[in-house]
Amino acid sequence: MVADRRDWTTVSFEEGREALKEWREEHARRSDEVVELWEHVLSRSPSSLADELCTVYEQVCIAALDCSRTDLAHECINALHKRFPGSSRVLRLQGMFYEARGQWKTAEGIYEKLIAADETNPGYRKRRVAMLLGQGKRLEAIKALNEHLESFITDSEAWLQLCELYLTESDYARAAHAMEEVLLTAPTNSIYLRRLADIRYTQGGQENVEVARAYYEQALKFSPVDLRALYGVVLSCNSLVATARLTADKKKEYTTAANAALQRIVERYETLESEAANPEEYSNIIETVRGMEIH
Amino acid sequence: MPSSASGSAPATFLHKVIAAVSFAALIHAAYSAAQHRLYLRLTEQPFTALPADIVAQTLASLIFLCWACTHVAGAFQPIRADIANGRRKWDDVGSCLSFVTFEHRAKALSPTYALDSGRAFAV
Repeated sequence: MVADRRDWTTVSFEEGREALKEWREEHARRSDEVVELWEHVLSRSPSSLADELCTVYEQVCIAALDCSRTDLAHECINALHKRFPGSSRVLRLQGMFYEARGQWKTAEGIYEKLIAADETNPGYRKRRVAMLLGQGKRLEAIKALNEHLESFITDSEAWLQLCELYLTESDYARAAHAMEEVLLTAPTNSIYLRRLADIRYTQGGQENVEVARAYYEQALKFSPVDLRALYGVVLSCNSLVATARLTADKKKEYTTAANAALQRIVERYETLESEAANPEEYSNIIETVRGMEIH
Repeated sequence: MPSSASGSAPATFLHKVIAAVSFAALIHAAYSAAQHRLYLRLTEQPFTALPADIVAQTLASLIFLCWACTHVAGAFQPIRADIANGRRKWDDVGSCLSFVTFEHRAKALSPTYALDSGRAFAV
């Protein structure tokens, strides 16, 4: 991957551009690196960015607000405003600018205007929810988000955010429901499956742990290299064998599943060990992992 | 883990040989059919049907080729719809950037932090 953590002041223009593009696509929040890249590499010849220029300006503006660089953000907004005078997207950035400075009333006014102008755009309502979150009004944000989801029921990002909010409130049942809605839009995404399995496992109780195990197995089917899902299988099977009332067949099934997953984890660590600079630390890990075996 | 869903054994040398031979036989049958038509045109005979041996050779080589190819191709692989997610981190997947807020510790990085909103701060 181009975009691993390193010193961004010395990279070439193309590498910098490539890195920004990658971060845009994978929704990474690496704001300090974006600002560093912009200031040292890309701002020297912004015209070379051609078509990407305005997207990059937007990305840099948000990153600058994240790093508390209101001067840079202001500069980006001005540049965009010059290019697109009446744009609502630029106005949204303006709203975010006021949010970052804590001028909530002004920002709210802007968002109200934007929503009135375009009812169908979910982005502005999401900013309203984000404003409530920024002011620390988490319960009101949850309520507003639920209202938003009544009209925009397929908005998977909103469901994901709702799930995260419920998790901070330790409301696992509702978080699991929100995560299931996210899964409706992306049923083969192993990361979402694993997250839902984590939530179910946390809820505890035989039924939930069995459901968690099923989801972990499903995540493994789609992404066989997922180490967390492997650990999830081991933990849920161990938990079921130890505490739940099971038939002998079920017990055997869970034991074999757990041991198979454990074997895969050990193999993974062994490949790392053979390539690592200091193999001794891996032998400790492997021993600890082996200790989780059910006999 | 990908399992041998088709139930076929992995490709042995015999399968590869049969695949090569039947492919050559198929090409040969096509060539002989073309040759046959040329011969008929030269001897001014009407063309009604290909000779039986060419038809037999075509069909036989086709069947053997199909059978041998399924063995050479190997077992079915599951559709890896999710291969890109193997390397993604939860930080990126769960970032929900439409809801990003700026009320966090990075505010202290601002050069005007001490002067903002009346913070009593001994600089």
